[in-house]
Amino acid sequence: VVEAPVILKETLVLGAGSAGLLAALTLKRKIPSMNVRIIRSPEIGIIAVGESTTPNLPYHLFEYLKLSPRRFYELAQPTWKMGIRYLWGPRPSFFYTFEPQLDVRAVELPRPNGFYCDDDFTYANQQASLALHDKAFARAPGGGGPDIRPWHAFHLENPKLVAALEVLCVEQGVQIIDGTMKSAEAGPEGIAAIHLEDGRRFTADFFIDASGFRSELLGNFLAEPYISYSDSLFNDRACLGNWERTDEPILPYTTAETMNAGWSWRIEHEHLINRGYVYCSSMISDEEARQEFAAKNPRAKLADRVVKFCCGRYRQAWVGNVMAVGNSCGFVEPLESTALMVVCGQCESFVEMIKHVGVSPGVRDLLNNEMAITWDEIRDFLALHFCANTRLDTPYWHHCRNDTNTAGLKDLLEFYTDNGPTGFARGLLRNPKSQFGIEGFLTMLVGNKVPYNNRHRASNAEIQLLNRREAYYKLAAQSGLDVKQALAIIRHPGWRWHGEN
Amino acid sequence: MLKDIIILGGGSAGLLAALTFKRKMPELNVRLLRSPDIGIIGVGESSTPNVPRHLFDYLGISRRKFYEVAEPTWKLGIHFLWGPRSSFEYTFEPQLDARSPELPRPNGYYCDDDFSNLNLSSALMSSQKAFARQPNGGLHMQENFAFHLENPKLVSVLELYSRDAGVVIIDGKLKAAERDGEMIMSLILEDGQRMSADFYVDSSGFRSELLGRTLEEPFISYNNSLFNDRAILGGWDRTDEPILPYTTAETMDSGWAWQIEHEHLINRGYVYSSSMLSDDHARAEFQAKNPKARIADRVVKFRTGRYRRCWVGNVMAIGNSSGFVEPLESTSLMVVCWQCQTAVEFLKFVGQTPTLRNLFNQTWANTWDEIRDFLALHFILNTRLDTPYWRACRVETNVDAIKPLLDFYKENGPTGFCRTFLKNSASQFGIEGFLTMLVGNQAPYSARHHATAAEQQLIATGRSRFHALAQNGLDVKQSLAMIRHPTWRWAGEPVV
Repeated sequence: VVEAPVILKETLVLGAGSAGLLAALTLKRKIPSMNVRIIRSPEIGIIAVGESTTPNLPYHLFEYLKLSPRRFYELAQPTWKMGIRYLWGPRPSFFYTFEPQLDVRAVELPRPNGFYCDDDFTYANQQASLALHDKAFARAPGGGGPDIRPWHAFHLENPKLVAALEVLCVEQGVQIIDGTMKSAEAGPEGIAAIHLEDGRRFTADFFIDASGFRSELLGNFLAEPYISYSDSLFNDRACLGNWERTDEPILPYTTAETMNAGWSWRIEHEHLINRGYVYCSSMISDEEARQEFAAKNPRAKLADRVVKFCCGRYRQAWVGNVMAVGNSCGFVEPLESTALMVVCGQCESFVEMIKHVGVSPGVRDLLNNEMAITWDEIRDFLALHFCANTRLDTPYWHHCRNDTNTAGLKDLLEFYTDNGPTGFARGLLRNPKSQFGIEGFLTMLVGNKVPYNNRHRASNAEIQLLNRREAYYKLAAQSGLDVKQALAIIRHPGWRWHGEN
Repeated sequence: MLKDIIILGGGSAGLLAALTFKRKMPELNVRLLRSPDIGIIGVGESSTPNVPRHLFDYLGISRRKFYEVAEPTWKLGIHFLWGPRSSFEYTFEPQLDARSPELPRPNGYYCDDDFSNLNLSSALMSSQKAFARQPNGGLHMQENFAFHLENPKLVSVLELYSRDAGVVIIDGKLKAAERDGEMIMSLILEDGQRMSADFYVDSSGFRSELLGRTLEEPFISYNNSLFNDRAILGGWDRTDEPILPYTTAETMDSGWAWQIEHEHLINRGYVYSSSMLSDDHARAEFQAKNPKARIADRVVKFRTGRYRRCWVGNVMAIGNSSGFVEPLESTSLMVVCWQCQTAVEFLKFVGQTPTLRNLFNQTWANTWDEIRDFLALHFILNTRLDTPYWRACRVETNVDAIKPLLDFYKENGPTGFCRTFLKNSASQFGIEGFLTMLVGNQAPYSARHHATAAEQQLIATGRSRFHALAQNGLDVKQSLAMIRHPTWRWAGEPVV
């Protein structure tokens, strides 16, 4: 293998949270000749909420970076997430799984699945059926072990994830520097050096800003303008709480539950249940939010701190010789667990571009454009969650249904109203690299029973086929493995990950 | 739900539409109105790979029967006599939007001097071979090919399949169509007969009887991007010429000429701009280049462009009645197949709604416009000749729609990231096609990559591997003999 010529010799990453560590790990692993250093501030705590991911994270670690699953599972102790269970809209609940449920049609049926989900949106695929039975995996043919498919994600405790990424970074040769940034020094490309409180000065030819909401380099020093999403996404605060798991089963999904003035997540760690209530400060006070949260979760120890945020993105992620990743580049509430998804995708694009093309204004524009499209699509996707949710009749939800700006979704919604849940709507997605794809949008539309005109009346023969499918999935789900069983199996000395001897 | 459909026109577009609808929606009543007076333009047809895929994979037509009746030959790509290189190959298998895992850059950065043998198809084309051999010496039929087809044979085979499928073919001549707003109510034939249906396919060719004439949909001309408007045709019987596994596109003084390889016939055509060249001069140049050719008397006149929409009310135009560009990239049947498939999928699984029609028309328009831009790029880049025609092409061809792509290329070179600048379209070329034209014509870019000795070594090894495979391959004649041998079995056929 011939190495690419080194375009950037020295990269300095500011911030050692999950975004900064993932960026450093990706750069060092993919461009080993690059010198990569991270500045880790000992004073800045980690927000330390549970992290819930999409399948991009395991893909990024195991397929793109080719890191050992065994090592990562040992260090980070993830549990599996097969999708999100929505307590949302008029149905008691529905699943958004990583395996397609709606952008598919059984060969024997004349319509795709969504047209049969008016009353019943369960057992539409294997993953949703497993989840409904609290199971994570079907059994692999023959062996009886978990059949681990690529379409799974993780629940991760943030401190364990950070510790694991630190170990992996150091193993790859990333240098971690403890210190607090005092100031940045301007240079011809943007930034020449970073000065620490202790007087040390670090130069580099490229800087990654992973300093979180403070956005020290991109937002503060380079004064890149911020584009707010506040007319599409109204929430701006969250309160958090945890409790130790006793006899609760480890559920194989993240839960997203409708609350009076927002929504609440529930993330399933092995020994801990992590919850958070995301709300809109103009519709509910912190105190009322805490009360509602505590009443729903009597066992939770609530953190004192209230997390304040403003959804949006910087106009450009990459300016001069600085690229922001993670919260320093943009933020939306974690309703679709998009934070690490965006970080992984951005790191991959950046590496592929600089490694196989180079650094040029055109490449920079391309990456910035890709980031803008990615963020704006997430904004629209989340906005759809809010404008479609008819579960509660509170002032907050009235506001969401009436006032959410969904201009970016106009064509798609019109098409849906006319034609129903057909995958052909994918032709209207603006982002050709969409991570959710039309599957995600259809799940929200069908899950929330958004009305459409072109209804299909299933014949008896069709209903029989659907019943047979349901019986089949039910049977497979009943014999599946739950998270606890699957964890025991992969920790058994006899377990081999794909590719291991 | 649709019950009745009438297809106007019995050329390849109309027959493909009839066959697709009837095979995919057997309960549909499909009638095809064929005018006995109207001849077939009768040029050789050169396709893209989606034509065999449409027939065999999508429609499930038997390969054996098709090969027996239509007698296609294989086309692995286009051999361009174009730009400063002596020639280059545009294959259906990616050459440039590809990077070998051992190399830091995609292939295009290593093609300044030598743009050959980058993949198997390209090596086979250079060696005049159609297929590589399997380890046991047999023919290895990879699926990255298209067909050369004689139009009369294609039309008869499609007629045969259409009748088998249950399409009713009616001979008759259209006199007029009755219209109500954006709907066609009925067709009136010369003999007084009146026919109506819920849905009409207009495959009446350049006349565009229903879409253009009756519904008066406006036509969007491409004449500021594509200057040619005429073609003369000629051919000769093959004697000892090898059957080449590609279509040739050759630069001419005031346009370009195709060469299509049928088994027993070589078909050529000269496409030119009537404002730069008289028909007589065109004939003289064509005859001088092709001394054996019998040149047809007729001059084919055309206008390039598309109608604003192809699906209006209950009418969809398919084929030349919806849009036309010169056959430089053999795009005609490609668009027809996409239209037929998408129309069937839409009508079968969703129905007819205004938003669905809009989506169809938008994707179709993007597809035609991308083809326009792709062809325009062929003309603006070709520095081979210094005639007034080519000077005009290089200076005046309008490529505004792909300016961002060209700017990015100029700065960064032949990287697949250029694909970001293409719109959502059904074009089969994708960024691979654009890069092939840019690299093939040695369009300049700034970010040059200086390959190390180790990289050059790796590239050379890859090239010689493909070259060796190709040299050991089978030419078209040998391959035809093999598939005609009684023991040959197509995929899926039982082994005896």
